[in-house]
This record gives sequence, structure tokens and C-alpha cells, in this order.
Amino acid sequence: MKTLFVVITLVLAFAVNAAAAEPLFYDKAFITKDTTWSGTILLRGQNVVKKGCTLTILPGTVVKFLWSDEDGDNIGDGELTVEGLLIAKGTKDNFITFTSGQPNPKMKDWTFVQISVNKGAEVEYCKFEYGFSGLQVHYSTATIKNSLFQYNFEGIRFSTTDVLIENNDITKNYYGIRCEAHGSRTTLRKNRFWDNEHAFFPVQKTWDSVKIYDNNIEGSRNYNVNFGTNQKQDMDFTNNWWATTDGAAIEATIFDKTKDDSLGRVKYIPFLKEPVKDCGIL
Amino acid sequence: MKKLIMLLAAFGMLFSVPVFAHEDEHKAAEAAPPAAQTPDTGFEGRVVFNSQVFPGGRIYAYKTFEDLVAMKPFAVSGPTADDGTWKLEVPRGKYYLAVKKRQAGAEDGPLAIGDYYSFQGSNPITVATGKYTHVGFFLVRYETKVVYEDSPEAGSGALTGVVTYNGQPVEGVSVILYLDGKNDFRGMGYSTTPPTGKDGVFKMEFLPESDYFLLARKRGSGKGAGPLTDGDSFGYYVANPVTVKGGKVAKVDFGVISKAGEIGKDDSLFRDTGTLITGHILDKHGKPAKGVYAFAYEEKVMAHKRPEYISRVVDENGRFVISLSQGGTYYIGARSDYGDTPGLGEWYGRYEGTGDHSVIVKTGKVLEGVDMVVEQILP
Repeated sequence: MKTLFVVITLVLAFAVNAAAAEPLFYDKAFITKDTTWSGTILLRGQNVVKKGCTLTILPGTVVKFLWSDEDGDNIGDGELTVEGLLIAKGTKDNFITFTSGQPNPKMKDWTFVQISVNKGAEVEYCKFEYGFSGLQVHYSTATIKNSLFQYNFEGIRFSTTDVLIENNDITKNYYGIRCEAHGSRTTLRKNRFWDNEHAFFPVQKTWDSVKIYDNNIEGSRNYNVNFGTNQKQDMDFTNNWWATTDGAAIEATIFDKTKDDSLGRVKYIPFLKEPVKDCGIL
Repeated sequence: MKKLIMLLAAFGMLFSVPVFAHEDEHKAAEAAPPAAQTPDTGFEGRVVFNSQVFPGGRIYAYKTFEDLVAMKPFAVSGPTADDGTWKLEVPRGKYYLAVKKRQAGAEDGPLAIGDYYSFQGSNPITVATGKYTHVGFFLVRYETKVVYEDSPEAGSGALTGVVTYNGQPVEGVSVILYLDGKNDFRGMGYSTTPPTGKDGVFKMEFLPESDYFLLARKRGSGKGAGPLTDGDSFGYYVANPVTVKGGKVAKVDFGVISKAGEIGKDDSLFRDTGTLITGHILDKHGKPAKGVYAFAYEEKVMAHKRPEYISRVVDENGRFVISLSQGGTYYIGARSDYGDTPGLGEWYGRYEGTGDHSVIVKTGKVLEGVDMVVEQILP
């Protein structure tokens, strides 16, 4: 009966939206066919796009996660997990926004947008803010370009993935990038990091299969790179701009083997002598 | 607002095609398990100590783990024969089995130094209907009591000791602490030590004062997770539970057994509890997958810890069976490796009948048709 109620409500919500441009409302929905979103979308709880289905989000769409916290962990339950294919392509003048539905939004108001087992997901000109993770990517191929990640606990989290993360602005998050890559072939280039607590947080099992170069990594409040306690492998951070040409100053912003002998080492030499000009959102 | 939603919902009943399904829907169907009880039902097996058959031990069958701790057996066998064999007739049901040979006599009771003991690694074990279920035991001798020494950490306790097999230190064994036996010592426990070195020494510090059940596991494969198999080791500390005291280091000698076919034909993860989830795991072409197993989490997030339950690797038809302690909501998936986040090239899939991959199974029921498709992650 509960299921029927939800189904009917959502069908009606769609019908009403078509007539009056009211926001679409999804409450713990299981989306089982190809779907296109535009306008304002309200999500509550875990919402899943079924494997085999494509969710296309049009420019200018605003996705708001409504507050609920059934497990009492002080993290909003709002979640969008796409297990089929996510195509979220805004434009330079008309971003797609994923944000809190709270009147006074704050970090962790919602859980995440998750790309899981996608082949060829596309995220471009999107804004992710006030989430636990703005975007998580697992077991997928994807491109994440020209997007803004701000005020999230984690801007982007990825695990076993082949993802191109390029020309994004990543700022004011607690962790800009959190990863445990497990041999992931992810590439991060031309991204601009500033004013995060930590720009990079490799938790464990991340090594130089992940390519990180030509980024501007500037002004983290704590560390630019902060290795987790199980990050035992070395990582290659060469050819990035660190807002200084003083090697000792760069090293001071890195928490690795130089500060805890049990950890891997961050290789940051050679480093760029000036900022990358076409970094961040173009 | 609620009235508006109800009004919309009522109007919506005109629509017959559901666009979305709620998370608690699933395709799987339940079927009642066989329930007949017949005579000649019970356990049988052999008891061994230091690779020698062991006469004179007794098998104690308890209805609950709490009964085992309280030493209130439901049934007790006669003494094991000269060849170590034994037989115990019990009604159909689930039992916790242990062997004791106490100098004090046949009645159940606490162990004294020099007594012999074994806790069955497959506990609890369900008696197969109409036959005797084989259960093997390897004994450990209770050699030394727990010794407490002063610790510099006044606010917490510590635990240390040496893991041995036939009196020799064992390398690569992890000691796991559990606060109780309510999950039948599945999962990660309260704390786990790194694998022991060649000296067999393990140590845990900064433990809150409490009673802990100590178990030991070693995987010959070198993998940190997955079911115990031949070549692995298992141990249940003979004087469980161990009391950890603030400001003290508790020192224990911990004898383990070698698995290698000794724990019986049932494994603790795979015994038939009567509460089962079954289905088939296929590849994307619809053919039975090979080398994969199914897993079940009790929580929605299927990551960051090991699943509570796993199946054996699928058979030639791709069929799996997950055996559960009790009914409830479980989150189901399948993969080809154990532990850690699935890596590149691994076979992986989740139950797609519900949005959150959950199924609901009732205690004592068999949930069939939980079929899954696995794909290689970024081959």
C-alpha cells in the first residue's frame, strides 16, 4: 500500500508539473525508465536510477535535497544514486545545481550524488554544494568537467574508476578530493583548488595509476595533501602549481612519510613555477 | 499538505502503469522450507587432540550461546570411544556444540588447568533432518590461567599473548575480540589485531574494561577476508570470556587448531540455518557466472566493512545460497574477491529487484529467486 501511495504520488506529481511547472518531488524513488529532468527537482531520502536507465538533466535544472535524517547521524539522507547512466550537462551560462533544500544551508545537508557502475557518465557545468559528498564515483567511467564543488564535506570521492576530472573549481570543502583508487586510472588536470581544509585526502591504496598534474593547488586551510593512516603507497603530484616556488613551503602543506614514517611519500618535484593559466571552469 | 498528497494519490489511482517503485518492492518469492522431523536425528563425529584420536571427552549441546556460557547443556554425549568417535541424538534444531574433558567429572562445569576443551567453529549448527550431521572437534588443553600485570595506562586495559598450535607459535593469525556471541562471532568484532609474527605474539591496548570473547583466525591464502577453508586456522580461547581490567595487561596463551577438514563438513558460514536467500548469479549474456559468491549486508551501505553473510562460490549453474542467523532486511550483492573495495577487473553486481538492493526474508523461510548479473569492473 505504501508503495502504491508513493508511485501514485509521483505519477501525479509529474502530471501536475507538466501543467503548472511545479517542482517534481521524489521520495525514496526507484526510477525504472529513461528520465529527463528540468526545472526544479525535490528529492528526499535515497533515490535510485535503475541499472540500464539513463537520467538526463537539462541546463538550468535545480536539484534540491530535502532534509531527513532517519538514522540520526546528522547527515541529511537526501541521495541520488545513478546505477544506469547520468548525463548532467549544463552550459557556461546555465549551470545545473545540486544543493540543499534547507533555508539556511550547511555542509552535510544531503548525502551525495553517486555515479555507480556507469559507462560514460557526463557531468559538465554543474554546481554541487552543501552535501556530505558533492559527487561520488565508483566502478565507472565518467568525465567531470567545468563544475563547481563548494561547501561539501567532500567535493569529489572516487574509488575504482576511470574518470577524467578536468577544469573544475573545488573550494571551501573539508576535503576537496577523497579517494581510495585501487589502481584507478583517474586523471585530475586543470583543476583549481583553494580554501579547502585539505585539498586531497587519499585514504588508502592510491598510487600513481592516478594522474594528477597541471592543477593549481592553493591555500588549503590545513594540508594540501593529507595521507590517510592506511595510505602506504607513494603518489605522483609532480607538475602542479602550489602557489609558491619554495619547495620547503610546499612540503609543509603535505602530510606524508616526511611527517609519519608509516605513510607513503608525495612526489611533488618538479613543481610548476607559475600558475596554470587555463585552470578551473572555462 | 498531507491532504493534498492524498487527493493527488486518489486521483492517481486512475493510472495503471507505475512509473516508480518503492524501495521495499522486490521480485523474489518466498517458499516454506521443509519442516518434517524424523527419528535418528542428531550429531556424530570424532574428537582429536594433537593429531591423535581422543577418548573420554564429552560433547555438550546447548540451545543458545548464553546457555553455553552458563554451562547449562540441553544434552550431553557419553564419553568418546577409543577411536575418538561419538554420537548424540537430539531433536531437530539449532545447537551450540562444545567438547570438554574435565578432571572433575562428566557434569558440565568450569575448566581447571589440565582440562581439555573445544568450541565448535561452525556454531550454531542445525541438525539435518533424519540423519546424523558430522561434526569434528580438535581439542586444546587448558595450560595456564590469565595473568594480570601492571600497565602504565591506568584508564584502560590491554591484552597480550602468544598464539600457538601444538605448542609452537603460529605466524599470521589475527586475534579478534567480541563483546558477546550474539552474531555467532561473525563479522569484524570489537577489535582485531594485525597478523602475528613468527613469535606468535599479539597485543591490544587501550581496551575499555569489559569481558571479551577471544577468537583467532588465520587464512592460509594470505587474504584478509573470506570464509575459512582448508589450510586456515581457527581458535576459540579455552577460558573465554577474558576479563580486561583497567591499568592491567591481561596475558593469555592461546592455542588454535588447524582447520584442514577438521571442523567438519559444515562451515560456520554455510550451514543450513533454515533461513536462506537463494538465487542465481549470471553474466550479462545470461550464462552462469564462475568464481563468484553472494553476500548480504545488514546495513544499506555495502562498503567500509565486511558483509555479515556470504555464500559459497556458486555452483556450475550459478546458484548460490546465503544462510542467515535470522530473518530481516538484507542488502544483497555478488563479487569474485573477498575484502576491500572491489578492484579493477573484479566481477561485481548487486541485486537489482529493489532500488537499494534489499530483500526481506522471514526467520525460518527460504527466499528464492534473488538473481543477479555480474560484470567486470573496468576490465
